[in-house]
Amino acid sequence: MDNSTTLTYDKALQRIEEIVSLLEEDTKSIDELAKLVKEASGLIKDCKLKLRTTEEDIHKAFGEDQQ
Amino acid sequence: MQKPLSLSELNQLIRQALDTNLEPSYWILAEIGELRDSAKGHAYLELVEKSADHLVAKIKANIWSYTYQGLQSRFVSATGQRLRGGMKILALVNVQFHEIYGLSINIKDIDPNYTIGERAKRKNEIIDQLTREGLIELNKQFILPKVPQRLAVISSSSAAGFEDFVNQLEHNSEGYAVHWELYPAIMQGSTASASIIQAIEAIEADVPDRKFDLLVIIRGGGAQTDLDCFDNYDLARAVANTTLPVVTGIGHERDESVVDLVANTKMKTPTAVAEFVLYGFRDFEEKVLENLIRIERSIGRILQMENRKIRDKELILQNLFLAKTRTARDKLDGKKQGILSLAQNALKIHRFSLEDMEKSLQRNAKTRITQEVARLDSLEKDVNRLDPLVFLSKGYTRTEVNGIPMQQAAIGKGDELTTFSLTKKIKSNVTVIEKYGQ
Repeated sequence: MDNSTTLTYDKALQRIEEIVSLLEEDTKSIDELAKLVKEASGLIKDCKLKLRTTEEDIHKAFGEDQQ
Repeated sequence: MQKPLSLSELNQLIRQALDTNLEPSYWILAEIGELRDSAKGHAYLELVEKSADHLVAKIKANIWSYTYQGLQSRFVSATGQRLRGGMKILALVNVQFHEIYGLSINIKDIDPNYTIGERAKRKNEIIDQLTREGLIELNKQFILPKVPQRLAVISSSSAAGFEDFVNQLEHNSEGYAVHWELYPAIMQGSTASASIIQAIEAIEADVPDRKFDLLVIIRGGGAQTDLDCFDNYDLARAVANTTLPVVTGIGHERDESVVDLVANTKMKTPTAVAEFVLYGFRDFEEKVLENLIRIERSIGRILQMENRKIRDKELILQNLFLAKTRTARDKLDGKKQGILSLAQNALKIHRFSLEDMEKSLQRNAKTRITQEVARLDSLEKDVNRLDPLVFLSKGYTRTEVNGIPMQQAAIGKGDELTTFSLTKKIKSNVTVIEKYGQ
């Protein structure tokens, strides 16, 4: 959770993919798995938020330009 | 033998015979051979009769002073000339015989009509001869000069008529300069014809140098005396044959002289001749002035026409220039418009490409975000799918051996298994291992 805010979008995405592949390998204990899922969910949420912010920024930028 | 008579006795006899046998007076036809005036006022004459230049009769005659004065003045007023030698007369005479002076005749009266007739006859003969010889019209063939500037004048220098002529010429109101040269001649009497002929010859000799335009013959006015010289054949012939047109101003009142007849132009008096000459000047000047006015007018017209032409050309040029400037300006405007539209087009193109770029940027960004969203969704699904809680909640369980998922571990009898359900953690020991499925 802590690193979610500090990570860049690309790093976050990389981490999510890493977690998905870890989940698919299924070599960890269920506790670790739960922890990973939680981390991935958090990262996904952050990334979505970032994307929405970016989209708004883009809209704002082009929208102002078009006016 | 008869007893001799003394001379006086004889002369007395002659006188008695004449007195008894002759009429008191006779009308006779004769020619005056010679006439001389005496100091006492008598006239002494010699009467002759000629037949083809031969003398056939001759007698002395006289006119006594008392008769002579009246007779002479009557004769002059009738014939225009005095009695003189060469004249044919009809005279009333009586024959006289004087013991000392001899035979003579005394003229009591003269009928001037006979002399006039004789003279007219002779004049007609001369005119007939001149006509036959073609001399009457000869001098008239000259065309009078337009402006007679150089005159050869035949006159007597002392005559009043000559003075009138010069005065008239030189004091003309227009100030024309007329050059004249006097060739003096005797203008009356028996020597006049020869003198005038001499003057004509002198003029003819001077013509090449002096370039005379006109020959003028004038005679001083005054009494109409002795104009017979102007009826002379030789003089008329000389006048007709001159190389100059002749203008006369002889001043006859009654009729024309033969010289007048053969001259180019006949004027009555010297003053009239001067006027005639000046008239030529005036006429010419008037014509010159007329022509000047005509020239001025036509030049004015030509100038007006040329002015109009120039104005037309000016207008044409002006229009041409205007048209050219307009065309040039239009062309320039065209170029300006071209440049403007080119610039606008370029701007438009740039704007379009900018807008395109903007749009594609926007599109790309959106696409990218959409892609990212899709990717995240897919990852989220994966995460959800792989979340152990999901399949635990469906009733599946999970079994681990020593914290290692069971499918990863080598399981033997007696190994402790930990099984997770949604809500429970179950510990068990392996008792049997059988093969199951594939």
